[in-house]
Amino acid sequence: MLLEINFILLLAIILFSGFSHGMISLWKNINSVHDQIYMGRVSRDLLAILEFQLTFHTQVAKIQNVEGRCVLHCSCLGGAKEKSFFCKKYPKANAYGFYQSVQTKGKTPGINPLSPPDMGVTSFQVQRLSKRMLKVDFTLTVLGTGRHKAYTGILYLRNGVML
Amino acid sequence: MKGKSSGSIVITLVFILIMLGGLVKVFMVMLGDEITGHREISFCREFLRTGGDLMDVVLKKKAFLKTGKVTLPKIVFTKGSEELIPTVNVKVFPKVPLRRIDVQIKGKTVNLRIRKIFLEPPGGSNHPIYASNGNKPIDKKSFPRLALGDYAGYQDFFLPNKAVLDKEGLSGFLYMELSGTIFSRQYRLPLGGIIRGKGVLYNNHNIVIRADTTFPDKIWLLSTRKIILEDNVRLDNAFLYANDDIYLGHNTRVCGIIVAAKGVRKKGNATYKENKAVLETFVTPSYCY
Repeated sequence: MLLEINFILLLAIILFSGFSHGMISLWKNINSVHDQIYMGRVSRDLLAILEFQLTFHTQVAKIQNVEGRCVLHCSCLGGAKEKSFFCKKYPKANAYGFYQSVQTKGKTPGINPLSPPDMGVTSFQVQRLSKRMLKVDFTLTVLGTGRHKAYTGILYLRNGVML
Repeated sequence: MKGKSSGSIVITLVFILIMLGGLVKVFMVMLGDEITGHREISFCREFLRTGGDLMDVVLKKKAFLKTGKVTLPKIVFTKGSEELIPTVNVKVFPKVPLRRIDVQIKGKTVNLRIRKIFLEPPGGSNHPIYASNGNKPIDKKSFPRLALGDYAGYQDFFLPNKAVLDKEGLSGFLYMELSGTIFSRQYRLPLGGIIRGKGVLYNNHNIVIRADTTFPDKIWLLSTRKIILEDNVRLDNAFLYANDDIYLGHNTRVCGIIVAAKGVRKKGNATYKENKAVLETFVTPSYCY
């Protein structure tokens, strides 16, 4: 029995030393793919939130530059509510996240994060393509591993205009 | 002993292989889910975009002026994806002061419907009753009455409650309660203060605007019975229409058009300033329904 166990351990060591390089790179690749998948999901969520807001619920959209950072400002249908989308530093981490600010006229605005706390949004740019079309660029960074990727989306306004 | 030993090795190897196989399988399933999710979202995005584009074309070509239904050629976004049939349905109602555009894109598993409504004042904006200023007697025979359930098919947005008005204001839609006598009830605007946004509020019963309420934006109040504006109500850009009569409370200020079959009753120092611009066609935003 002892011999058998020793033999199996020996086999395991041989297998591991033989394929260690491959296994480590496989592990790294799995992590990389996991990060890619995670970033893909977050990017889709963020684009879907922007798309939902802009497609049917925005009357006027405008791009503002606040302290060197791009802010997408949306005036909702009816004009009673305003929403802004921007990058802002997370309170407990030295990284930027994606936030939205919602303000009903005459009330204090509420600011909420849209990106998960372990995902940084290092850049956010909006470009006006036409009166009813805009381009959104942003870069996501996984805070644990530092992997990053840039994403782009073209969004339309069906009930409003872009200033 | 030798047989047993080789058997253990085989079992271990099989176990390792199963583990690796399982890992690869999980990995593949994860990737597969991701690809499917991405494909579905892209499909929905294209789907929504096509519907919006179709609506834009109808509006640009002014194809919404005449009743008609057009079924367009089938669409397939990518090879192997489901076939979609786009339809544009425009309906102009000769008696009801309303036109609508319905854009539909239908597939086996999906169905997108986008609607836009154009509302005219009852009888059309050129009707002689809108030439009078609300104080002159109205010829009852020619009064263009709103019939019960004229807007029955367009109950996509209910009359807003306090929470909605507080949070969203009005978003430019046609808001109405269930039509029909059994379900009709008085609509009493649930709060005072400033209510932003434009909209058409239609009720098959009375509409009561509470005291100290202000509507700074364009608003149409259509009632098959009475409209009651309590004291200090301010309507800056309003069209008031009632099949019965309209009461203006103390210190009420209305700028727009007031029309009531049984006349307008003013209380105290209520003021009314005519503004015919409010009779222009009320166009709702496009919305999915």
